[in-house]
Amino acid sequence: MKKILAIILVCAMLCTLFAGCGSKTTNTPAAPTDAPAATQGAETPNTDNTPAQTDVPATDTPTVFTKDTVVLTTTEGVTTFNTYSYGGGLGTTITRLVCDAFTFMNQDGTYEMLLAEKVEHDDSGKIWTITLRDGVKFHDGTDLTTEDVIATMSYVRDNLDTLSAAKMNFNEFEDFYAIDEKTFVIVEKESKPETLMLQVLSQILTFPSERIAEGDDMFSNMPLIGCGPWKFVEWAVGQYVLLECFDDYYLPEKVSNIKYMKWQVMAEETTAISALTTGEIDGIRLISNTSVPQVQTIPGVDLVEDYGMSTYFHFQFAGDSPFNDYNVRKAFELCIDRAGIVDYIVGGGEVCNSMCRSIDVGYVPEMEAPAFDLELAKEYLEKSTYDGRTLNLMYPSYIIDVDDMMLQVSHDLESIGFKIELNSYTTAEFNERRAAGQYDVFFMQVGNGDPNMKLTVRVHDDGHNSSYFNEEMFKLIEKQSVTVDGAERNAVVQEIMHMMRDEVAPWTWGWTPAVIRCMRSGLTGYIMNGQVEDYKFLRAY
Amino acid sequence: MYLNFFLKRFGQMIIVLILVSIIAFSLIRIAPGNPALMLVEDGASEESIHKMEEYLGLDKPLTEQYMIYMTNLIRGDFGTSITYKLPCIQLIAARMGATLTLAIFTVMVTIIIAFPMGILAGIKQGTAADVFAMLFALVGQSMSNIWLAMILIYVFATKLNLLPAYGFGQLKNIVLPAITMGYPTAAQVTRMLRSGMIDTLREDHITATRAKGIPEKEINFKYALRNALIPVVLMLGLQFGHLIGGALVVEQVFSWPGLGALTVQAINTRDYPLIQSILIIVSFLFVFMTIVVDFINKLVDPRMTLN
Repeated sequence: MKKILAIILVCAMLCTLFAGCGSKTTNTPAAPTDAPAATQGAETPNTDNTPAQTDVPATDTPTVFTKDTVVLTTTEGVTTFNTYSYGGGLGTTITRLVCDAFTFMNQDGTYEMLLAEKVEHDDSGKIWTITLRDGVKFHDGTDLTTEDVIATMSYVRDNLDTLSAAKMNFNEFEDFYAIDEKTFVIVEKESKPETLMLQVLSQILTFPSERIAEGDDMFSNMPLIGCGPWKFVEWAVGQYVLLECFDDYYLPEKVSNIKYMKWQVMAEETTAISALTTGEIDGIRLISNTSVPQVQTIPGVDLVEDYGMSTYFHFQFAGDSPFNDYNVRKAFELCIDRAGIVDYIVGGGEVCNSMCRSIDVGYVPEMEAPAFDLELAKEYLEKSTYDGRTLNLMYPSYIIDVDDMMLQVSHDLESIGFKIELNSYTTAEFNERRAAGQYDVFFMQVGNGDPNMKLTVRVHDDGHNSSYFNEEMFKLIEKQSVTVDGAERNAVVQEIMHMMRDEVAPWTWGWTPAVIRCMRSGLTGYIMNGQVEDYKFLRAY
Repeated sequence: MYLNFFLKRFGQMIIVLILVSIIAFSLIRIAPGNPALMLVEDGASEESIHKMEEYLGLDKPLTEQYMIYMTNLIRGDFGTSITYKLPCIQLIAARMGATLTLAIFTVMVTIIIAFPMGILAGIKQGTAADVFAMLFALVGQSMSNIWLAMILIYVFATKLNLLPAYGFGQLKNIVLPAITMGYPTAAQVTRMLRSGMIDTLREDHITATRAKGIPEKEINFKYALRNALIPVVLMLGLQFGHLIGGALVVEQVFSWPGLGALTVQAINTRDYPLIQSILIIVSFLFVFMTIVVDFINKLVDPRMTLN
């Protein structure tokens, strides 16, 4: 009797143990897309009322979203709402919901006016006159004036040592001043291309001048006050941020029909998917490729594939390393199966043919992506000076799917004769090693958007410690940053692209992985504009 | 006697905390990774990095940094988090409530499950109840808690929709995390209590009480259980101390806003003041728990000396 009972109990326990193993889904990569499409209209931000781009087929027909709170999840919590310092992460995304910039970058790379009614410049491209839109109010009811703009900009300029994320833009300002309550001027030290200025203006968020007087605590002393479409309500550190729709938003047609937006921190993706299944949440900010099949089975949820915010590159440290030899660089470029990584590891996206996306300045349509040719790669390696030493390939551990990507890259490199040691580091250690040049080659992601930052900071200013020096290329980089005429600048950047491809230096192209989000059907107005993801005009239909 | 005990243990606690502060301070600085580099622009100049270090107070000699930290600590100032720009104590306090709640409920789950099962298994050794209890303990001790968490979410949240998969603030939110945390501990306590009961019930003084005709119920609960409880109380106390340090896996899976996730984040971003503060506060609570455990054991078994 006891034995029978024991056997029954064992069986019951085993059944419980394996209860979670019954998934019918298979682990296949998401359907790759040719190119992400834009969801936003060209005239005003997000005017359409259709679902966001859904390249991955949804399992259910769109339904009406009727809840008054939309709950979105993210794996990382907010650490700061200060968009002018580094480490913002989700905080930056949320701050941009609460605070509007002067311009807004659409998904297709075009710019719209937000706080600015118009942006004008003189012939030299140095003096920029910005006129503010009428009727803009902060969430505390006060009107936006140039006093707030100048106070914010002065505060940032005076604290650039600690507000490092603003350095690149603000170091280029010669001066800025108000002409009247609605008009102010930014004087640049050098001429500036229009697209670049519009990008700069999309990154400057304005706060009430009263808050500026509070100093550095203005970003941590809640509530955060801006003039964006969402009002800050509550920040439960490590848990969630709650926002409320701002009814007095200056673009009435953009006021959301959803009352609250809640950003819930959820570190574990499987929990988030469970919560999405039960209806506890309405969207997951980013999901990994391996979770796609599971999400596809959830009724009433759309899978949305967008351009990634970043493109991945390998940077080659010259110094006394083998990468001083062109043949080594060429062998490195040719032996990586980028398409395989895009299709089977990151689950969509595209192999880059240059550092620009097709919508960016300087894109060279006729340029082909690096080939995957092991035989040719071996030939280059054989005639190179590579002495068989072990190369330290390091990468930051925070990038999604990075271990799998690097294992594949390492495998590809070793297949032609490179000896590779893979090293994964936390961001803190990665940054330190990168600054100290303790690597042979490193892998990392670089934000998309105008190529100026990549060219100026990473290539020209030698930010990655490479000793690669190409005077001709550097002169062109300087030129593109001050060329006001759009077509002329485009040609200059294209020339740089060709040069970098020909030289395979100082970096080799990687891939732009797709970003896959899942959102409850019936929601629209969320975009990924290549630099940031934006839920500013999220609404239900 | 009690005063001496508390004074002595308090003195020991101070020494432990000073040592912890030195170790925490040194270890995090020995680890590679400069917090200033996390806050400056890509490819920042030496000057920029130095200015950031100056802003963070990292340009001073280590001994001076330590003295400043300790002086502020004595005044009750735990410093300001580098990443959050908020007082460390405010961040820890916000998480401590969740961590303590989870720890308390975990211990409650442990007691509710393990005590009846362990006692019954001890009294009814070799019966079906004993076999069940041992199987329960075996599974509990062998199963990874992330696996258990996934099963619980799958069954109770996704399939049955009875309990939320995540969250904090309501009673229903704590059920699944507490069971996940409590089951392995309950398994351990069940085994310990069972063997304690069996050992005690075989002792001579129990035979003597039986000979005196004292009812079996009284023997089991008044005499045997009391002896068997001593190691269990010690274990539960220490387990509670461990739980105060945060339970990263469970916090991650159930989005429980406890100290574990904050600690990992602080380490990853090299948030020196926050790491130091967490370690000191958790150490304090752990040492405090050992004092409480000693005191409870004294109450359970008056023969024990507090020293």
